[in-house]
Amino acid sequence: MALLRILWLCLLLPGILWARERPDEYAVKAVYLYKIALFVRWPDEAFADSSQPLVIGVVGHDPFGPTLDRTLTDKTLSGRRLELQRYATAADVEACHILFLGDQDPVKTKAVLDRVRGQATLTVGESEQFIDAGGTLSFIIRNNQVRFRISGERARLAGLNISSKLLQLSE
Amino acid sequence: MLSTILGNLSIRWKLIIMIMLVSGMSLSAATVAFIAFDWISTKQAMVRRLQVVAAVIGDNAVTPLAFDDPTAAEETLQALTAESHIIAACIYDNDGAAFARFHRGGLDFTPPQALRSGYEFAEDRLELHHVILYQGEHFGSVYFESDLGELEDRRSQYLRIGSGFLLAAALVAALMASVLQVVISRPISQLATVASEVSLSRDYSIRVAPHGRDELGRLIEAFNDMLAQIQDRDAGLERRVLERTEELLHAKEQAEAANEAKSDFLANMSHEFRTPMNAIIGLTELTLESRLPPVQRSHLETVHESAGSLLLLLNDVLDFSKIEAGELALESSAFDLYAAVSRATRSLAVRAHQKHLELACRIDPQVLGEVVGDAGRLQQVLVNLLSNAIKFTHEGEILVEVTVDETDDNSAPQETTGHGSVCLHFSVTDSGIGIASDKQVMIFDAFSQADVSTTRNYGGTGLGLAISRQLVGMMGGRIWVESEPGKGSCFHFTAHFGLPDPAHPLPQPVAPEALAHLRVLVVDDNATNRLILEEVLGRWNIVVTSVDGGAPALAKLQSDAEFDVVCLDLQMPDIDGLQVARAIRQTPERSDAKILMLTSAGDPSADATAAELRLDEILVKPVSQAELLAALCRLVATTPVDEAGASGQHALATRPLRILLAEDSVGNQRLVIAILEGRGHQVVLTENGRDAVAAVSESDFDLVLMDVQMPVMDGFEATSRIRAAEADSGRHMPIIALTARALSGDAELCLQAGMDDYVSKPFRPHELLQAVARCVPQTQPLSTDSTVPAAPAAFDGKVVLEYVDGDVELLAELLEFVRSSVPGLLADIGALPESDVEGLQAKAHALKNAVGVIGTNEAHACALALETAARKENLGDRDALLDRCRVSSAALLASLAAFVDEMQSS
Repeated sequence: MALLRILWLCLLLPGILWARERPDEYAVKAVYLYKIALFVRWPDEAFADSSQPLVIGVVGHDPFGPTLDRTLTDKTLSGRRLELQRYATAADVEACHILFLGDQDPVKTKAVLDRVRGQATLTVGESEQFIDAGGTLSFIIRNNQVRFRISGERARLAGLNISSKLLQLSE
Repeated sequence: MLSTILGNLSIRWKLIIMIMLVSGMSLSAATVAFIAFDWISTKQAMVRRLQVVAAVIGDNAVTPLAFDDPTAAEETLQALTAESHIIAACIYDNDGAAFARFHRGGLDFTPPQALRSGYEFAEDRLELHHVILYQGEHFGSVYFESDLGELEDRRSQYLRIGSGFLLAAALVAALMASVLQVVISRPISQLATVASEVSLSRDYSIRVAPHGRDELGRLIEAFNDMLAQIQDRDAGLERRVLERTEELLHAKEQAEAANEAKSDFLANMSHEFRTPMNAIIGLTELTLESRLPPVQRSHLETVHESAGSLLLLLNDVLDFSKIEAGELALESSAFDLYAAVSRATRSLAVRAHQKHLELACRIDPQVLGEVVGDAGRLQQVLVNLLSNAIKFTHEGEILVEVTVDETDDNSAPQETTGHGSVCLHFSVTDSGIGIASDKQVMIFDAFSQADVSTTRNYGGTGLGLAISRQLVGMMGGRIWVESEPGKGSCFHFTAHFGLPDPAHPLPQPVAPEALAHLRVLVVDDNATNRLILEEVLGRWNIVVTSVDGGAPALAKLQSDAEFDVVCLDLQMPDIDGLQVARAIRQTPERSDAKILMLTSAGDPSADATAAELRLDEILVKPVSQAELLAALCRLVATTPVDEAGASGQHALATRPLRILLAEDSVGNQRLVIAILEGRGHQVVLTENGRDAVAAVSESDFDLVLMDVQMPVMDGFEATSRIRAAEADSGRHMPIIALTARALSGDAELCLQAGMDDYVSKPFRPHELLQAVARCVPQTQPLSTDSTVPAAPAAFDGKVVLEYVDGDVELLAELLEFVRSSVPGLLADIGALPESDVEGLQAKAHALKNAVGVIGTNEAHACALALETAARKENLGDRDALLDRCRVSSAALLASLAAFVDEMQSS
């Protein structure tokens, strides 16, 4: 029970920090990355077995710093461990379930997207154009708040099932 | 209170109330339970629905919470506007802070603290918390607040429906109850109606209509069975009552037949006894008429009187049965009390003497000589008491005393004369064995004597006192006894008598003047006798000197005292009466003294000594005043004024008649023949009715004397045959019945049979002669022409006096008879319808006989004319004749009454 409480505090901690200290944009985005995973169902072949962790990758520039690591530490999703992978370039990208693209460079973006095309990978960008560029989900800022846009089409092509709840919040 | 009201309600209402109560209560319970159940289930449904809403809202709030989008959350909450009963809602984030809120009224409400899942019903609302989970992740919670309007609506709706339903159900129940209760209440009320009808009308044939096989049916069946049993029993009872009634009727008839047989037996016995008694008494009387030596006369008188006593004894038995049957009636006529008492004592003198008992009689001077009542019954009581006294006394004396009962304040119950009444007190005192006090009441009951051994020692029927008590009771008095065993008894009785009509006094033994100042020496050892003699003689102004024995008597006689008469008791101690008499006769100075010897009957030496000692008079004790007076008068050579009356011989002179006697008893034949032939009549004798009828048809008679009971043909039948034979000739033969039947109704039977008169046995000669004189007028009957006879004999006192042989007393009796019968007969004739010829004839005949008792006269002739006219049915002058009868009868009565008064006062 004590353990659960600690876990609970850990979960709440970022929010609290954000609320108090006006946490920076990426702290929020880090949490959102995790929460989005709650509303996405990957195809069964995306995991070798039930113990295989859900892999979240960050390619190129890493805006999160240690925040993301902290956020994902000790988190599980449907019993799976969360694993953070950092990739320097598109070529480094290995099979992952969620891939955050930190670079705003359209060329690089294209390379990455091409690299994961055909794989059950939810690609997450940070610009208005990311969806047009072929990304699946993109964080945008509205009224000084982090919001996101989702392309249901891209998700379906990638074999991902995104919950309608999440789609409702998409702009 | 309630139970009383319920208890008095009819079953119908009880049933209806019961059904209504039960159905109402169960319906109410069901309704309440239903409403309660609905309340609970509605609450649960509300909670469930709110939970669903919370789940949906919560689910929809997951992403807004997850991605911190309160706007989206509030949009989600806006969906609650459709749920009208939700007042407020709130979504909390994981920190428990309100994330989005909703209020129906648009109010800014303050949500409560976030809680775990759960609900709570507050006073007017339902509060519910729901934790939001998604994929095992905790996102926050929701809060809902719902009003209870639905619950209230439902409840009021259900109450309305429920009460309406209850009312409707109650109505239906009442209707059904009132219809269905008939099934139970009707047979019961039917049963009750029939039961009360049965008890009211006592008609046990009523039945209740049968009814099914349930308990009521069985009850009705049992009730009907019960009625049937009662009916059967009643029928049985009725039958038994009928049977019993029949048995009783039969028994009653038997008893009546037995009673009739008894009466017949008594009547027959009476006849059988009376016929010889009649001969004895009658012939004795005839013999007494002749001259006889004094002793024989005395003996014969005793025989005569003993026969009378025997007759009285016989009458006892008859009387008792008459009293038992309530048929005894007392006579009411004037009589001489002294004579009656004297007769009673003298009839028992013989027996008293045989036992050497002094029998004395004292009548108080205050007692009137003449009273009205039944002398025979008074004598009967006295004889009863006296014979008892003699029977139970072995030595000493028996005293009869009569005084006026001063203590009696009771007005006379049997006042018959209209001249007042007197209550007399009689007592009979003896010195006999006495009666124990515990037996004193019992002895007056029939057939009981003081002791069973008494009957053995003294005999007797035990009837005497019972009869005496009844007779005394009828005379308005009572009888009682004072007694001490060994010392004697004193029987008392009182009786009421009427006072005589002062206008018609009986002849009194008035002492002639010659007796006044007569000097009499009374010698008697018995003080009572002395006292009585002194009193009686004193009343006649006689100078009385009395001594108590022979010695003092002789002493007195040797003194200078003058005595005209010496009254001597025969039996005295030491010196007896005879010795005193002899001494007188041997004394020259006393030789002219008259000697009156008082003796007891049955002394054989008296006759001889009477002659030897020249005794002037011998009287047998007890001596009556009349005897004493007569004897004294003879001694002083005077005649007592009432000799004719005292002699009892009322010779009735009629012309010599030819008389037919029909009588089977030899004794009576002799008696009647002696009486009639002694009067110069010619008597033809027949021994039965048939011979009498033959004799009447063959030769002519003036009169027939007909015994009622005779062999071959009785007197009734013979009379009717004679009357039948007369129907053609128009003649009427006077027939006098001689009847021995003392029972009532016999006289009527005689008259019905056509007889003109009757004489009851035993009869005195003058009774027979009176009857003969009544039936046969002295002169020849006048012509039978219907015209009024010319110049009937005027009233002639001399002729009338001759007719009764100078007997004024008899004449007075006859006058009374005429006076009592004629007016009634005249009235009867006047009242008869003209068509009733037979009735007229009978009544005219009776009238003729009534006015003819003192011989023929104008009235007799008128009555005869009327009778003849009726017989010939020639009634043209009926009214004229009747008027003449009235006038002549009235004249006769007036003349006769005047004559009798004149004769009596002279």
